[in-house]
Amino acid sequence: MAMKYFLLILDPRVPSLEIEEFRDGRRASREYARVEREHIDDPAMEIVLVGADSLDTVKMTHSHYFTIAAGPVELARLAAS
Amino acid sequence: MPAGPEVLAASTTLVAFRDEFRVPLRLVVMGLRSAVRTEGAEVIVGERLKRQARIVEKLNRFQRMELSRMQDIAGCRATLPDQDTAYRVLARIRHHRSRVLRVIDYVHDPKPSGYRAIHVIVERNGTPVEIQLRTLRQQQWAMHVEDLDTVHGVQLKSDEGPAAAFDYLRVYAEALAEQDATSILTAATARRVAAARAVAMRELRRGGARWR
Repeated sequence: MAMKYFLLILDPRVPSLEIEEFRDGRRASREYARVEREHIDDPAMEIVLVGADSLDTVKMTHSHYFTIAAGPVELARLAAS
Repeated sequence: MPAGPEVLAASTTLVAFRDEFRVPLRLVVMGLRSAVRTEGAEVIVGERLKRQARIVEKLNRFQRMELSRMQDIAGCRATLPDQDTAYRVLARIRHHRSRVLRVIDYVHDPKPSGYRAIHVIVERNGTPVEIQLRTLRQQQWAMHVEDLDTVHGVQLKSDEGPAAAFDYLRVYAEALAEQDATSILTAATARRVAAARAVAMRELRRGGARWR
């Protein structure tokens, strides 16, 4: 299966999760570095580029990003569980 | 405060250095995927180049750490159905074109937190690449730790938090390991996990903020 790249840009304060998808690894890496640079003064931002065959795999390997992005309701559910 | 020119220049250097890991990582991941497939397991493989921020943190945390000696700039992870499959994939990795530099078996010797996985450092095109082999249950445990950190404002992942939370994580990890080995969860083990969890949750809810 063809590899894809997912750039995850999480702002846990909002919370918001932006996902950019790429087919080309080199382009993905350039964009990864550009976005990191854009937020170089903001340590709260969590930015990572993950290679996987599907977004479902990423949801599994980086579930943390998705839990936080799901917001207070999901966190409350987890806290109560 | 906007980043000064030195910071931006350092970031450019770091990115150029990190980019050299991209192709070796790609090759190692292809080998890993093929090893998993050959073992008949579903291919759940992710890869990443370490974030700039994490690289800098690690350099600061370990004063003697040099960038050129950091072995996890490029990393990939396979999530596998059970422990046997993980060891069989490891055996295949040993016969790959990448030279194995180091195997760290946290299944045999878990971290004090209870963390279990097999870590392998291989060398490809002269660069180190880290491979992590986890069972689904080990992955489930690691995600649970991250969720607890988020929900309770602790840093269990970096060994910061109430002792009761670590007791619980250790007991929970042992229970999952037992299931990975035998596919059975005994009632006694389940009770032990539930009891440790109850204590940990009480501590986390009461004093979470103290560990922030």
